[in-house]
Amino acid sequence: MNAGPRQKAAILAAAFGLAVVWGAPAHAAVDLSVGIRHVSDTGSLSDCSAKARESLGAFLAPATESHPGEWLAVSKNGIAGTPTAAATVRCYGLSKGYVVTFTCAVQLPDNPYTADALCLDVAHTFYGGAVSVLPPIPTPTPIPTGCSTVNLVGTWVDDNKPGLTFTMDLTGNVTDSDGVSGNWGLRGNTVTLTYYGNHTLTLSADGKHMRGDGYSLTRKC
Amino acid sequence: MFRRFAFRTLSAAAGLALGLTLSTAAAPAALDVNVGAQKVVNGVPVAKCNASAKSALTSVLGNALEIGTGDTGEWKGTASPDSSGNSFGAGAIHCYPLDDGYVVTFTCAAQVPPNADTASAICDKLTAAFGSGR
Repeated sequence: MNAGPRQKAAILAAAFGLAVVWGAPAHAAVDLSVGIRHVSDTGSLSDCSAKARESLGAFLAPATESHPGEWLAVSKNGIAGTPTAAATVRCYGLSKGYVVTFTCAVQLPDNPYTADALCLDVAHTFYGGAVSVLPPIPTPTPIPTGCSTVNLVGTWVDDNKPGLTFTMDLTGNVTDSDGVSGNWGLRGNTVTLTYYGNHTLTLSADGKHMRGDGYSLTRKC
Repeated sequence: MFRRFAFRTLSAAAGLALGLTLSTAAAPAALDVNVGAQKVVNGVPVAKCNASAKSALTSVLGNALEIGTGDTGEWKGTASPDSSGNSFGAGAIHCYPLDDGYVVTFTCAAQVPPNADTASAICDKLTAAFGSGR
């Protein structure tokens, strides 16, 4: 599709806007990209919607339409197990053609690319232009299965109260079998257990026991 | 005797408070994006949309920046940064002229936690602050 004068002006303005914001390093934990707008003198709202869905799907998970012409897509889960990037493409039908805006957000530093980079790729896929290869989003660290002894993740049994168990997860949470929560930390073989106060325990050389401060726990394989 | 009892009681209370604090601080942060409202305002020039967008972003987020050169109608605001200079919330307002009026949309993002407001809450506040746009 050839761009008319109106389209070219819109694209030029958007590109200039991007150039203005591009130079600023993204220190923010939430990075929002705004400013890319495209006007088409031809086509309908449904044409815009079809292209929105396709362009979002090229970089993110399948898009969903919240209202006619308004699309949202998110990335796959990042290292923390939640999406770290998202983009919206919003179409509005005009008397002739349509106007569409592109807005993107990423969570830094977990996401490997900026919101501007994502929005530029989605927009260029929509109306044509150079598309950059975005770095892959790091996959979540799998929770060890079985009796891994490299950390404390897993289930532990209280040697003094066999009915009491502790489930420790990868994010440092501890939950006992009664639903009481706390936290764990491991440095070397020293375990810090925050559970009804702070306790220091020692992890055995084989990684299957930890004892100290009145606690004696055995890893359940 | 009493001093020892008081010390132990205070120590236990402090330990419990610390434990509860730490146990509630482990929730993973998640990116939250909201496709907010779209409004069509008839009989009013887009300049009014731009003025209302700037005012709404400034009142809700503390700042407003029109992206690009001239009256682009593409507005952005970011939540106040923390002590490390990081901002965890942002909002965008897009104004576009129509033959008789304008169309405005609201889009927001937040990282929750630590941001107190979800993306939806930010967009709701922006929409309310924008008002009728007349």
